Amino acid sequence: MIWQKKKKKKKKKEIEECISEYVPQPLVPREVSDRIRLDTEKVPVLKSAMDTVVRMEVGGEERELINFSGFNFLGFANDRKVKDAGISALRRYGPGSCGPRQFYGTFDCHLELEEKMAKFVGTATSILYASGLATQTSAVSAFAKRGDFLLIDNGVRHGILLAAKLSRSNTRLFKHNDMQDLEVQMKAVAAEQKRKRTLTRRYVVIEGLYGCYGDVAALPAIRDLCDTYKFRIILDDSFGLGVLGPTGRGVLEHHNLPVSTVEMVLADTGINFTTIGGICAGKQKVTNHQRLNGSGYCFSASNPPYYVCTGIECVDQLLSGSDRVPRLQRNAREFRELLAASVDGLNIGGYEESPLIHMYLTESFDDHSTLEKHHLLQRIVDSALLKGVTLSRAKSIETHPVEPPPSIRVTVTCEHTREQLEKGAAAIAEAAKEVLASTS
Amino acid sequence: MSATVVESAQAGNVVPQATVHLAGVHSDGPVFADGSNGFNMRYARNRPAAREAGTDEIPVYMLFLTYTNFLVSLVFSYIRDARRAYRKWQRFRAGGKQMKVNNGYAPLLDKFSTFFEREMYGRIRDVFARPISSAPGPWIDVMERSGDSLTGKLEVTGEIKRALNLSSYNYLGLAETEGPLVDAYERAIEEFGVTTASSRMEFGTTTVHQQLEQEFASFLGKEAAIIYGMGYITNASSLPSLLSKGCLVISDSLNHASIVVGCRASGATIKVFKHNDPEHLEGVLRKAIIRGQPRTHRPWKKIVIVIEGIYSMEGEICRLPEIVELKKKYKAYLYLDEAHSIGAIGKHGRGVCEYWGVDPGEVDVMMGTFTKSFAAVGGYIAGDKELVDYIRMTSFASVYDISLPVPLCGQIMNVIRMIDGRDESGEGTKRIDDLARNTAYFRKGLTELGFDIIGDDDSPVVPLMVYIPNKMPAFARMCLEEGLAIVIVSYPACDLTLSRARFCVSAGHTIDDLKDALQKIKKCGDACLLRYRA
Repeated sequence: MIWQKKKKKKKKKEIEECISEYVPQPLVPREVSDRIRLDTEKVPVLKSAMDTVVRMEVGGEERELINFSGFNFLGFANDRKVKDAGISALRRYGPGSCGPRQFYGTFDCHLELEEKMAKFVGTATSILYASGLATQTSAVSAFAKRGDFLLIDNGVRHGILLAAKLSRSNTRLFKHNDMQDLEVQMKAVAAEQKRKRTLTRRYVVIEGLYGCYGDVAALPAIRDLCDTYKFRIILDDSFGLGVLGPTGRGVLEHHNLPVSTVEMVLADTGINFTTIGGICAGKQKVTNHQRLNGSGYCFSASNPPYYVCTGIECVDQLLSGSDRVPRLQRNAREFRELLAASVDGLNIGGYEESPLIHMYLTESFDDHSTLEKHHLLQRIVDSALLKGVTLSRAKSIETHPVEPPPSIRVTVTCEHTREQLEKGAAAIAEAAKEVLASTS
Repeated sequence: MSATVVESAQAGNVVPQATVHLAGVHSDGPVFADGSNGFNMRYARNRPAAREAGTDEIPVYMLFLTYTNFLVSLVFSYIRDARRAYRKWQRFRAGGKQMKVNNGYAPLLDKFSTFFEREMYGRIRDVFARPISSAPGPWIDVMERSGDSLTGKLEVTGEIKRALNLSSYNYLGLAETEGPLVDAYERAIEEFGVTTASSRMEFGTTTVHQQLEQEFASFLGKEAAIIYGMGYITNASSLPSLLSKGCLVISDSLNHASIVVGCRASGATIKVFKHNDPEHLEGVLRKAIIRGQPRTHRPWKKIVIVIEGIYSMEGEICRLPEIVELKKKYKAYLYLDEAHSIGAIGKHGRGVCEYWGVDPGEVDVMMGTFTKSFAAVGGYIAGDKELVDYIRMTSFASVYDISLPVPLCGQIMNVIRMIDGRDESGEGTKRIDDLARNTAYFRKGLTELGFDIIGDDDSPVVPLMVYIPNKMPAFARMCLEEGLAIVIVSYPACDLTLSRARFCVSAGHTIDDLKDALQKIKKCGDACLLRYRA
């Protein structure tokens, strides 16, 4: 029909107009927030290895600074024995692994490291991933699906929150280390399931030593609550393994609890064991399931054997009773005492033996906005740099649901000498005094 | 005639234009100014379309056999599973113990969802995850294992089997234990330590990282680049920075799991287009622009097309020029994942853009990994300075992921200089040539033997179609006995009816190795009746 043909022609014309009128937004926005700009303007650039003393360019000249940043708690990053283990692995295996675990990318050193980490943590087996972030996302997603419940502490780092989002389960955040809030949420979940007459898997996800706060999880109380309301615990002990407890076995040893308290122990081995990657330790069925269902395990190349061998050397040292852990805890305690005695105007938070020390502005600065507090802390960090000490301002990304309060993060390692600690505390105190005095 | 071509490739001679026809590629056109033969797989003009695997191409009897095979396996697996559960129940009754009760907890792993991994994958577990105890070079030491696949652990016996490695992604043959690259790596460890133990934004950036980013960006022909510690995380963290709710992602149906994870984490709407099909992509684009967002019909904030350079399971190279034309016509953005193609194709190893002769400026975001051709680890994003700075500031991997250790940065830089020719050793060109020669020889050899090979003639990933699932473990076990380490791929990594064995050719293989391998594959293929096109 003629009128049908005309209608078709008109429709075609409209379609072409619609397509030509489409204007997309630019791929990235032209403007970014001030907070992001602040975070990225002052990224420190090193010129030497990560150690207690580093070389950086400060004020136009290259200087040596005492290092209180990074996560090199046990001092393995520049250790002689660890480097030697890495070099012999390099000469035996070459630089890369060139394949995923399922397709001839499993080396004998991977199997050895998995066994030794399981022995160190105290579980039956463990599984090794090629990236710390992928460990958390894959391990949680493999066991939590639609319909399951995840109660996550709101002080955890981003990897776990991403895992919860990807797993599509019911995710609720509870206030950081707050047992009352946790109990209220657990009761709500139990009541909801009873009403609907269903029973799905329920998990509480916590960290051992919180990287954002420097404090330790109240594990005994959480365990009691979980027993009552039938939840399982997923523990991310990235900062705790190697740091807490008399032999460095982590938060479970610290609280004197058996490993069977938790369902699985996750850890980012890049933090304390120099292996860029992560482990998930647990029973045989837990780790076996992840070998087919852990997306970061199946769809990614395996860890280069070089890093796995350095990791083996680190675990061997810890298993044979090295004195690094007691030295680290002693240094942490001493440094906290020094800071408490000399620094004015900054509160020191976290557990007393935690080598991760967060320093916050006191209540007198409560009237400042969050951005202003960040600027202030950044000025303290810059001033400390000029005085020969490196600090870092704790960074997080804007899309994090509950941002921790602005703080400066100080790291103590087991290799720091008493003299370095004293110099460091003095420099930080001076920097804080200088900047805060000029503000108030 | 085919023998002549193959022997000439061996000798590295220049073959007169007449025999170029046999290579099946570059059948006409004065493409090669230096008069070199068709085995110089650097330019993609006048090439025939890749042989794709598709259900419409498989003969009906093959489909029937495949489904029947699965069905029989399934039935036997159910019977075995039921028998095991019955025996377990009998044991508990006899022992007088209570059956393990979950005590109010929901079971951690329910029997139904783990059936596949327990009964079907469990039977052929010895074919996967085989440990090796040497560098992943052209020849490897496979550690033999024994034990009951179904129930217990597979124990390493201590015996070593020396096998030709046709499975590692060692395209340029850089997985070596000696040489100037390894020496430089050792020096970097001595100077810079083992790891930075810190993320890029905190304290993990060194001058070496900055230098590597600049060099790599100029290698690719882009303004800036950012380097991450792992390829999977690169995709999973940069896609959420670029996309948000209200954006549309049009992704190839066979894209890698990391891209899917990144797109889902971003919250954008995901649509899929038929694998490597620009016509279907155009249809999806048109519909998307006309209809707008679901329910509100507002226009999409951004439309991003996500494709890969070489698809590792198919062995196909993406049809980049057509997709770039579409992208320009419909004002979409293009994200290219070059995990397998960077360093492996193109005259100077610069990936699909160089292979097709497309200007790198046309691709908005170039992503890739260093695991395959560079024998390192890590991932990169390259693009305009504005784009890379934004990703650096907003992706969560910059804040939370431990940065790439300095010795690895050094390794990548040295490899770039070698491929580029800047170190004046000629190694880079030699390796790329070797890879191209080996690829052509191996593909030609297998096709002539009558195996069903798919994918592009220039891609170093060579899938050999098996179709019937139970032939795969048999083929893999036989090949290992002959001294060939191969990879088999089945559901769920690929379609149910399209099971295959996959070979990865490397520049480190010699023609003798490959000749020998072809003979062994012929022997095992005959035993498993795999020469479907003979």
